[in-house]
Amino acid sequence: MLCRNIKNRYINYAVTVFRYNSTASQVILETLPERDDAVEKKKSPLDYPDYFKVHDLFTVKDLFDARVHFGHKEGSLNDYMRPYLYGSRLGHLIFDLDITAEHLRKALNVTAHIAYRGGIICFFNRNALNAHLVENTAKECGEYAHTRFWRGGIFTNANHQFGAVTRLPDLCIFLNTQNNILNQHTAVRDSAKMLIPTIGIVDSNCNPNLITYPIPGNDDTPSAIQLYCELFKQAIKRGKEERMRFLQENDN
Amino acid sequence: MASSRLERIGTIFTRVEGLLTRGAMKPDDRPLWFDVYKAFPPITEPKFAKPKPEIKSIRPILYKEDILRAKFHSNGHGLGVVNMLHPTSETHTKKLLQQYKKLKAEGVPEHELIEKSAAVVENERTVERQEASKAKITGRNQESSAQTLAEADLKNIFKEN
Repeated sequence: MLCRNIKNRYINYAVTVFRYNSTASQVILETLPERDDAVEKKKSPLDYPDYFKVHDLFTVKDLFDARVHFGHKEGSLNDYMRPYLYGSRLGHLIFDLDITAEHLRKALNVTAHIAYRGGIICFFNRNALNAHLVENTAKECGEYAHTRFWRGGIFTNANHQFGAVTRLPDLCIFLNTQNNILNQHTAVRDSAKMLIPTIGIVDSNCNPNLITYPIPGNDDTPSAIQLYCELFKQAIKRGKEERMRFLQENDN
Repeated sequence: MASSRLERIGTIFTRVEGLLTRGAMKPDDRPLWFDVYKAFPPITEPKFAKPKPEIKSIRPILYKEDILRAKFHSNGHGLGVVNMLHPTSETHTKKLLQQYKKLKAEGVPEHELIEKSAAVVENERTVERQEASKAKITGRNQESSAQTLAEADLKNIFKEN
């Protein structure tokens, strides 16, 4: 009897530690009255509007200097991108950078939170000019990148294709969402199918509907891609640092 | 684990939420991003079948000095190369506009303004270009000739080792 009690307590303890790590569920915590106070005192990072302070990573001027505001020509405009436009300069569409900044900050915050929870993040890009940069960024922050031809079924038929049970990424970041000028990247659809949230830079010729956190902006210019890569890298690093600190504090 | 692959219905969040409330997915099995999404939902719901936004005409971005730009360009001025690696450097057209303003303040008659300011800017550019090329040539010559002379061992050119 005693033995079983100890065992039970041990399991309860283990469960609570696990919950601290990932996501606190109210249902089970209520059955542990002694631990309840501690949980209430300790606020989760999700309770803060900007826990990782991603808000000060960039300014609208930085976006402007990196030429994020340039869209494509009027003829190729996707109607769903209309709310994000500022205007048209002699046929070339210009994005409203205030709207872009709001979306980008939200996306960076989500990226940092996913990194904090130990999620796998995968970068996507199908523009050969920026492929090396994107792959290097992924390597530097210890995450993954896919910048080559997308074989169908990498997500949807993963267990069969890789011959084992496969863990899919927890967040996909698309630095451009198009395969070429005409077709959307298949991974956008497949991520939505497999219940994976996506962050995507959508230019004026892209469809933002299936992207969970779309960021209107220029997805072609290397200077703009460089800025996005730097920002996402910083956000992921902040999330991971915080995770390491949390794990060290709660180790003993 | 239960999941729903119908990406055209609802959003990823509503589909997971449905599975959770109906008990097809246990709360422990919920995806890692679920609470993040709940705390920070996107600004617009990522639905596949969204109604199209209201189609308003796109506002044209025009400036007062565009009329002058058009005048310069139609006369063949202001078509110089732009160095995009220096975002602070002034373009050819901007220099023309500044010159135009300056000459107008000095009281040059209206019909001569375009040609005169174009001539002044063109003059400046040629002077700049000449100076730059001169500096480049003299710099290179002095440096390279002095270096080769210092390094060369003229007396022993034909000597065998």
